[in-house]
Amino acid sequence: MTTEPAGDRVEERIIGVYVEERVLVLESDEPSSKRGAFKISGAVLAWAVLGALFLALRLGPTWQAPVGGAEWLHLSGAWQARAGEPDGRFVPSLFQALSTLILHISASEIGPRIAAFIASASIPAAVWMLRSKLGEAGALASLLLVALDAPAIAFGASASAMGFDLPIALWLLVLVTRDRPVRPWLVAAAAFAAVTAGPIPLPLIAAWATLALARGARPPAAQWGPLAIGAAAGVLAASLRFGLGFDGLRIPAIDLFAASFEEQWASSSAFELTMLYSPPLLVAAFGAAIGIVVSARKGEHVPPVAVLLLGWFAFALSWLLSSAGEHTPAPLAAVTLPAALLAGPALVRAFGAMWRAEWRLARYLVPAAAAFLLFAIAIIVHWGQVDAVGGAQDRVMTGLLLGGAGVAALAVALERRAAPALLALGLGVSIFPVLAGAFGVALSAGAEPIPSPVSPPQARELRDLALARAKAGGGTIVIHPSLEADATWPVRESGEITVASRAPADAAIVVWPADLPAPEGMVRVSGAWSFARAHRAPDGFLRYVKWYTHRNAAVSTSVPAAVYVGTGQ
Amino acid sequence: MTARSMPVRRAPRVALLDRLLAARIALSWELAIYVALFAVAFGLRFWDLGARALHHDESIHAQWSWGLIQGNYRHDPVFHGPLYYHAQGLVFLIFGASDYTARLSPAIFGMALVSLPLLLRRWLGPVGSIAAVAFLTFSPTVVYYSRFLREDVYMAFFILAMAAALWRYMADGRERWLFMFALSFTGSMATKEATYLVVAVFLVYLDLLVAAELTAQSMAANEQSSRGRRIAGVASTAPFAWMVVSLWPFAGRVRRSFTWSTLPRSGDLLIVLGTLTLPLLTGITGPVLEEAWIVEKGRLVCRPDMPRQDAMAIGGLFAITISGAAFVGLQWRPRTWALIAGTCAFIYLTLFTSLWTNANGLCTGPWGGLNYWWSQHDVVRGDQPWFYYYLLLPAYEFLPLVICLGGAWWSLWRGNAFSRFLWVWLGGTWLSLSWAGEKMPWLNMHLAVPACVLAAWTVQRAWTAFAAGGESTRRAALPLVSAAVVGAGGVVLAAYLPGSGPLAALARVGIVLFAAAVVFWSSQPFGRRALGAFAVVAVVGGLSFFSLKAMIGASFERGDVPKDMLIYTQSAPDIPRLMTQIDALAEATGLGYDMPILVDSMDSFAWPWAWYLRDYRRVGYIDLSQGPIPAGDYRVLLVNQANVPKTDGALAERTMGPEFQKAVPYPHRWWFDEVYKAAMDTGHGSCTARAGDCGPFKPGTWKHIVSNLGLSEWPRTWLHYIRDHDLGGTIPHESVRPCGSCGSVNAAAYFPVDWDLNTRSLVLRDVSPPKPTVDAAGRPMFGGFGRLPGQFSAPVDIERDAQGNLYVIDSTSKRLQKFDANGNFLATADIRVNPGDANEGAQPWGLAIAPDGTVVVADTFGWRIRTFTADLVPTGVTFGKAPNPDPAVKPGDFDLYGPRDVAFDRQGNMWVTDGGHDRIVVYTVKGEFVRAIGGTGTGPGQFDEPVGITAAADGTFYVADMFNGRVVALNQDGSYRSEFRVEGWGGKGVDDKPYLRALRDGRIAVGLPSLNTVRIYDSAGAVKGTVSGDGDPLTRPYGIVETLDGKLWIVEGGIGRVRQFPIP
Repeated sequence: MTTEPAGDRVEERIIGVYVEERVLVLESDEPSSKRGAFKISGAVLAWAVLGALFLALRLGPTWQAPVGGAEWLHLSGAWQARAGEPDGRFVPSLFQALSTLILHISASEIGPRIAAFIASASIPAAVWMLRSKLGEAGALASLLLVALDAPAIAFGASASAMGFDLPIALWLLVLVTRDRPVRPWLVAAAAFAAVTAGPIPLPLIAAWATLALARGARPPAAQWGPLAIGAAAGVLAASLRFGLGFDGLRIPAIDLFAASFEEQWASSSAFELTMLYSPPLLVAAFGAAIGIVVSARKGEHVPPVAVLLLGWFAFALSWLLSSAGEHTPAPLAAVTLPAALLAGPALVRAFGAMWRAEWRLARYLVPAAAAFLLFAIAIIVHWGQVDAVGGAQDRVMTGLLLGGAGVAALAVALERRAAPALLALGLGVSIFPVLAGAFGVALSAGAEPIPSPVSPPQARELRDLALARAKAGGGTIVIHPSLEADATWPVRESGEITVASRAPADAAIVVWPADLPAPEGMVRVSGAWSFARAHRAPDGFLRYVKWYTHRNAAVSTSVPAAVYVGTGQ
Repeated sequence: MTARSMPVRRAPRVALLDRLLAARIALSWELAIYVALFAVAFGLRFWDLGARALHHDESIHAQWSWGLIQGNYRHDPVFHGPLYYHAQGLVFLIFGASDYTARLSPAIFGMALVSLPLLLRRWLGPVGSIAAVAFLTFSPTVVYYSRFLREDVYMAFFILAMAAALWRYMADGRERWLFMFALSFTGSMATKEATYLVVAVFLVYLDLLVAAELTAQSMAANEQSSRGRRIAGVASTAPFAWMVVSLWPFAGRVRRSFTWSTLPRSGDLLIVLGTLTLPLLTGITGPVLEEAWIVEKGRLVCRPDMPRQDAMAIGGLFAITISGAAFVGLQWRPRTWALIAGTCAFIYLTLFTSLWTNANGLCTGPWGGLNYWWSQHDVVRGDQPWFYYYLLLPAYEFLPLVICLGGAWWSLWRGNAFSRFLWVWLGGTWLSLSWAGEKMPWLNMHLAVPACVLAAWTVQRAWTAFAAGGESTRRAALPLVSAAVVGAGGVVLAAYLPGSGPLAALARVGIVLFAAAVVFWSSQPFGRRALGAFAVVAVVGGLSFFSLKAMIGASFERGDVPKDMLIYTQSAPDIPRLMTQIDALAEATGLGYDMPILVDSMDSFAWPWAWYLRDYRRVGYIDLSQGPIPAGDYRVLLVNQANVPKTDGALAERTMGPEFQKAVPYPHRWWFDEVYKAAMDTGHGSCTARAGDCGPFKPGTWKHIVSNLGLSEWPRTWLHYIRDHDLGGTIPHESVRPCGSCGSVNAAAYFPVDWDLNTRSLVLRDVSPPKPTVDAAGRPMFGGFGRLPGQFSAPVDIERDAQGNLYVIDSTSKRLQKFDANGNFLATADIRVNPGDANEGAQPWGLAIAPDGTVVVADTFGWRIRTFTADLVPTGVTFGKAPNPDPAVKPGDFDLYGPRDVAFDRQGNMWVTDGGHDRIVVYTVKGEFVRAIGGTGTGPGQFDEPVGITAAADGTFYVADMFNGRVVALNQDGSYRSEFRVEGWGGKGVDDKPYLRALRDGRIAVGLPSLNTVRIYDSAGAVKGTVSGDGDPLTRPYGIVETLDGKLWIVEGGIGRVRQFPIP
C-alpha cells in the first residue's frame, strides 16, 4: 500500500500513521468483499453534524425568543409600514421590506424570523464553499465557532433589519475570494444585497476595497457595469422604501451603521456584551491574527484570503472599539464572524501542534494547572454567590492555587516543544463559557442580556385585557405618548388606539406612566404592568461569576406602567 | 490486526484532524444495526425528558446539582453522590437549568451504558453484542431510570464498565484496563453506597477465579485433569486465595509447595479491587466499635466542628486500613499501584470535598457513606418484604429473565468463565439487594443490567449453535422471523383473548402450546441444534410486545402516575401544571422572579417546590403547622392539606396584601398500591420488612405461597399485571374508585382573585371602592365580599350616626368602615391597637355610636372595648382585659369574656353585653366602670349568652339572651322588665349570634342568623313581620340599623354585604 498525498489534501487511501520515514501500517488492505460496500467519509459526517448543530442552535430563538433589542424596534417599524404609517423605525433594508410583506400574511414575529433563519441556514454552505481556502478542517472549525457564537445565534434568527447581514457578509466573502470569474448577474445581485443589507457586511466591504486599492487590483472592467447597476438598484429600492413611498436617498447599511451609535439595540453596552460572550473567540482570533502577521514578517507566504480576513477583522474590531460604550450587539456580531473564520484554521494548526507537542512533562503539568485553576474557580464561585470576596485564608488559598496554575503553565510554556500542549488548557478553560453562552442564547434563558430589552408577554396580556374591556364597555384605549414606542409591537392588531397625553372622556382604559398622576375621573387597576423589560449585564467580576453559574440571576428591570379605567366601567 | 513495516520515502506530515476527516467508514449490516439501535436508544433517553413531574428525590438531586455550580453543595451521605451532582452540575452549567436538562446527565449515562457492551464483543460475540445493546436499549427498568435523576444509572454504567475492564484485562493484560477498572470502581463508589454490595460480589468472583486459576496451575504442573479434583481444589483454595494473592512475594514457600508459578491476572484485579476497597471499609468500624461499647452511639459522626479527639480516632482507623492496602499494593507493583491508588484517591476526594472547598468531605465520603448506610440497614426504608425483587425483576425484565433461565444450562453448566461471571454478578447482586434493609424500585437497575448481558450471551450461544449447523443466514432468516411472529402472535392472542373462567384459561394455554408447536415444527428442517435459536426468537417475539408496552407506559405515558411498581412515591403531575400557572402569573404580573411565594414545608412539602421555584428570589418555606400564616405580599400560597382550614381563616382576616381565590386542591405525592404485602399475609398481617412473620425461612411462608399458586387469584393478577401494568384500581384524585394501599398526600394552591386559572391571564380589577348597587330584586345594597376598601370579609354589626352615615364592623378583617347614608365608602380603620399585627388577638363583633358621635367597638375576642372618633381615628380609650380562666373566680369589673355588643343609655353610658359572663357591664364613654347587671341563669334578670343589645327611644334596653331563646327587656336602671320568646334562637353555633334593633315605632327587629331571617316583634313579643329577602334571600343576617327615612340596613355576614329593606 502506498500513500499519495496531493498538495495539502489527503487521499482517502491513507490509513497509516507516519513515523519519521517509515509507515507503520495498522491494517492490511481491506478485504475484497468490502470493496463494494457503501462508505462514508469523516468529513461528510463532520459537515452533517456541524450543519445540524448550527441549525439546531438557531431553531430555539426562531420559535421562542422574546421580541427584543433591535428586532423589537425594526419589527415595530415594519408593522407601522405595513399599516401605512410613516415611522422612523422602518429602515428600508431588504429584510425590512420582506418583513413588512410577511407581516401582511401573519402578524407574528415568527414569519420574519423564519426568513432570517432560512438565510442563516445558508451559512454552513458558504463556509463549505470556503473550504478550499481555509482547508477542510479549518472550515469545519470555523463553522463550529460560528455555530457556537452567541451573537451570531441571536442575529441568525432575529427579525431585525439586519436579519440577512451575516449570510450576506459570508456570501460576499465567498464571492470576492472566488478563483473563477464571477458572472455579471451575480455581481449585480451581490451589489444589490450589500447596499440593501445592514451594517454588518460593511467591514468586509471596507477591507476588500482597501486591499484592492492597496494592491491596485481593480475588478475587471466587465464587472463595473453590473456592480454599478446592482448598487444603483439597491439605492433606488431603498430610497423608494421598496414600493412604500419615496424617502430621500437611502443606503440602509449606512443608515443602520449610524443608528448603531444612536439607538438602544441592547440593554448592555457592546463592551459588556463582548466580555460576556466572546472573549475566547476574540482571543483565538487575535492569536491567529498575530500568527499571520508574524508569518508575513518572516516573509512566508500568506494566502490572500487570510489577509482579507485579517482586514475584515481589523475593520470590524475598529467598529466594535469605537462603539464599545454604545448599546448595540451589531458590531460584536460583525467582529465575531471574521474572528471565527480567522480562528478556525489557526485552531486546527494549533491542535496539530498540540498533538505533536512534547507531552513528557506536560502530561502532568497541564492537568495540574487545570486542577489548580478548577479549585480556585470553585472558591471564586462561592464568592460570587455571596457577592463578596472571602476571608484572608480563602484569598491566600485562591492566590496559591492561581499561582500554582500559573507556575505549572509557565513551566510548560518555557519548554519550547511542550508549549503547544497549553492549548489543551486554553480549550478546557474556553469551552464552558462558549457553550454556556451559546446555549443560553439558543435556549432563550430567562434573563439573557441578548436580546434585551424585550417586550414581555405581559404587554400582550395587557393589550388583550384592554381590548376585552373596551369591547365590553365601549370607549377607546388610550396610551401615553411616552409608552407609544414600546407599545407599538405588542398592541398591533388592536384597531384604533389613541395616543394622547390627556385621557379623553370616552376612554375605556388608559395606560399611563406609573410616575404620572392618575388621569382625572379614572381609577387605577391592580397589577404591576410594563411594556418593556431589560436584562442587564452583571456589573463586576463576582456578579459575572454568579450570572455565569445562574443565568437567571441577572438583574431585570421594567419600566412600570399604570393602568386606569373609567369609573363608569 | 496485522503489523508490518516497510520502507518508504519521507511523506509529508498529515494533521490528525485531516486524517480523521479523510477516514472512510464502510457501512456493514452490523454497523447499520448499531446505528439504528443507538438512534432508538438516543430517542428513548432524550425525548421529552422534562414532561414528567420531578420525583421528590429527583428534585433534591437537581437542586443540589444546581447548587453545586453556585458553590452551595456539601456532600451528605443521606443523598448519596457526589459524582452525579458534579455531572449534573456540569450539564446545568452548559445548558442551563430546566426540567429537561435536570434529566440530561442520567440520559447521557444511560446512552453510554447502552454502548458499553461493545467492549465485551469478544465474549458476547457479534449477535450477542447487538442483543445486549438491544436489551439495554429497550429494557423498561433501564429506560425509566435513564430518564430519572437518581444515582442508579450512573452506578450501573460504572459497574458495567468495571465488568468490561475486568474481562479486557483478563484477555490482554494491558494496564489501561486496570486503570479503567479502578476508575470505574471509583466512579461507582463516588456515586452510591450500594456499590459495596456489588463490589462484594465482584470480589467473591475474583477470589473464586483466582482459586480456580491457581488450582489449574497446580493441576497442570502435576498433570492432573480430573473435574472432581479441580472442584475440590477450588473449594479448598478459595477461602485463602485472596490472602495468597495479597502476600504473593512473601508466600514463596507456599507457592512452591502448590506449584503456583505465576500470579494470575485475576489476582491483579483482586489486588486492585481489594486494596481500593479496604480503606473505604473503615466506616464499618464505627458501628463495630459502638456495638462493642468502645465508643458511645453516634459519637463518631462527621461534622465540621468534630472534636479533635474523634477526628484523630477516625484518622487512626484510616491509617490502619490505608497502610494495609498500601502494603499489599506496593509489594505487588509499586509504580502501577501508586499511580492507580493516587489517581483514584485524588478524584474520589476531589469530588467528596466539592473541589476541595469542603474539608468535611474528607470524612463524610470515606467514613460517612458506609457508616450512615450501615446504620440505615435496620431502618428498612420502604418497608418492603424480602421477595421484593422477586416480584419487581420479573415484572419488568421478564424478557431477558426468561432467556437467562431458559439458557441456564448453556450458561451455567456448559458455559465459560464469562457466562458464569454473569450469573455470579446477577445472582450475587440479587441476593445482596434482597438482604439489604432498603429495597427500592430503582435498585432493580442493578439486576436488569446483568440480566440483559446474560440474556445477550445466551442469544449468541443459541445463534452459535444454530450457525454451527452450517445453515446460511439468508436461508434461516425467514423461518426465524416467522418463529418470532408466531411467538408474538400466540402470546398476544392468549393475553387479549376475551372471556374468563377455566375454559378461557384452557384456550389460552392451548394457543400458547400451539404456537410453541409451530415454532418447534418450523425449526425441524434445521436440526436439533437450531431449536435453541428458534426458541429464543420465539420468546423475544412473544415477550417483546409486553416489554415495550411496559417500557412506554412507565417512561412516556404515565411516568408520574404510580400505576407501575417502578414509580415510587412520585410527585403528582399537578405540580408542573401548577408551576406553569405560577410562571404565567409571574410573567403576567410583571413581578417575574421577584414574585413572592409561600410554601408550606410541613411533611417535606418544600420538595419538589424548592427545585421548581429555584429562580424565584422571594420564596418563603415555612412549616405552617408550627405557627401563624406569616404576613407578606405573597401572590401564591402552596399549603399542605392539613393547614388549609387555618390558611383560609388567616387569609379572611388579612387586610393587606393580595386577595386569593378559593384554594385549588392537588395531590402532592402519591404512591403505588402495594397489594403484594397484603397478599402475602400468612396470618400475621401484611408481609413487610418489619412485620408479617413471613420470612423466606418460615415454613408458613411457603405453605402460603404454594396454596395460592395454581389457578388462584395470584397467577391471574400476575399475568394481568405483566400484560397491563395496571392493577385496575385507581388512585385518589383520578377517580372515586378506591384501591388497596395506594394513596396520596395532598395540598392546595392559592392564586390571586385577579388570576384566571383557565385562560392563565389576569383579570382587570378596579382597586377603587365599589359603588352601592342593587341586589337581584332591585334593593339597595353595598359592600360585597373582598378586601378592597368598602368590601367585607365577615361583616357583623352596623350602626348609624346622627347624619345618617353608616359604620360596619368586620369580624375577620378587623376593619371598621364608614359609609355615607347611601352606602358610598368614606373611610376605613383597623381596630387593632397595632394595625396589621397578625399576632394581636382581635375579633370585633359589636358596634355602637355614642351620643357625642364616638364610635365604640366591642372587640369580642380581644376582650376589650375600643373607641374611635367619627373619622375612625382611635381616641386612645381602650379598656377590658382577658377573663380569669378559673370559672370559680368572680369576674372583675373589666374582665370581659367576649364583649358582644354595645348600646348607649340616655346618660351617655355604654351597656356592654359580656356574653361569657352572662352579664351586662355599664361603663362611661371614657371607660370608667359604672355597674354590672345580671348573672348566669334562666330567671328574670339572668342571662345565658347575651349577645345583641339595643336601646329603645323610651330608654328600655332589649337584650338578645341567646341560649335562653328570649329577648329580655330591661329598665334604665338595669332591672328586669319583661321578656318574650324568639323561636329559632338557642343554637350554640359560634357564628349563630343574633342582633336586634329597637325601631322608632316601638317595635323590635330581631335577627335569626341560622334561619336567614329578620323578624319584627312588637314590645309584647308578637311577630309583626318578617324579612327574608324574597328573590335574593338573606344570608346569615347580623347587625340591623334603621335609616333616617324608616328602612332597615341589614348586615349579611354570610355573603359580605349590607342590604336595605323596607320595614314590614
